[in-house]
Amino acid sequence: MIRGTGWTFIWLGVYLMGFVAYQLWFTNLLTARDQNALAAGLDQHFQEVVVEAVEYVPVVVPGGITTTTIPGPGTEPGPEPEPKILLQESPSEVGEAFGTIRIPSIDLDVAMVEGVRRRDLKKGPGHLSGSPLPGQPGNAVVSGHRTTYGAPFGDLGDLTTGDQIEVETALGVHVYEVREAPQQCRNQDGLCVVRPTDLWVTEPRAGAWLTLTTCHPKFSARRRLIVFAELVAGPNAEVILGT
Amino acid sequence: MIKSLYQWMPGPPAARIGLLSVAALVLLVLVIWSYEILGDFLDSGGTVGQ
Repeated sequence: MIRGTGWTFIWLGVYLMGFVAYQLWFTNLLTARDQNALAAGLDQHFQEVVVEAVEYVPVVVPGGITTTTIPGPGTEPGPEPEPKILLQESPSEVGEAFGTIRIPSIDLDVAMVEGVRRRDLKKGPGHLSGSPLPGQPGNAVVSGHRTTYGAPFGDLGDLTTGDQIEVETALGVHVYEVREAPQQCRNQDGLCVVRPTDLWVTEPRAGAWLTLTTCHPKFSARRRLIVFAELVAGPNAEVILGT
Repeated sequence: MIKSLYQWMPGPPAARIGLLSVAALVLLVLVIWSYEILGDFLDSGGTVGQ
């Protein structure tokens, strides 16, 4: 009886040690392999992607400016603004790389993939399909692992207001600046922490934004850490910001 | 433990080793699958509303 209990605990210990090793070491190897493959294919992607120049007409709606070129139902257009030319790239297939994200202040430089399915995020940060691509008007949402699979967003909590985030796509390099966490989600450390179901963080916003999401706290998927960054420079910045 | 299991199994040695290998492989797949499921509690990828 005692011998059997002893063996049970030994095997349980082996299982748990295997779990820790798998999560904190082996998943990093898997992601590193995938990142190498994604990085190798990016140059070709940049050459093959279709870039279009489209007319961009910001539509004035109650609460700000929408991020779409087509007025949605129920929107009341304000005074007609002058149409501008916006560069757009064709979206990538889900699971494929479409650009890179660089955050010098936390020493991050990784390839991003389209999609946020479990298998997409194992490769690197994933762009939420349905949200605008980085460099486009609206709210581009990118999610990433914080502790496993290369932990691309492991140090996201160290970002401070004004830090720069560079996203390179087929259009060029889009530069974003981290903005202060909104009052409605700011904790005592100044971080924006929400529940995984708080969809408002992914909703469209006036201007051009990049919203980074990851798990919080580290080693727990109970909450989400959100970083909001606003476009300040890039191929479409002048058009979107109206400068 | 594996030795006693091997001795307990009927059949020729090659068949026993083959069966044990298949069982080990199945066990490994189950263990990794459980690691993947449990891993979501550590870090689910940080998505919102998915």
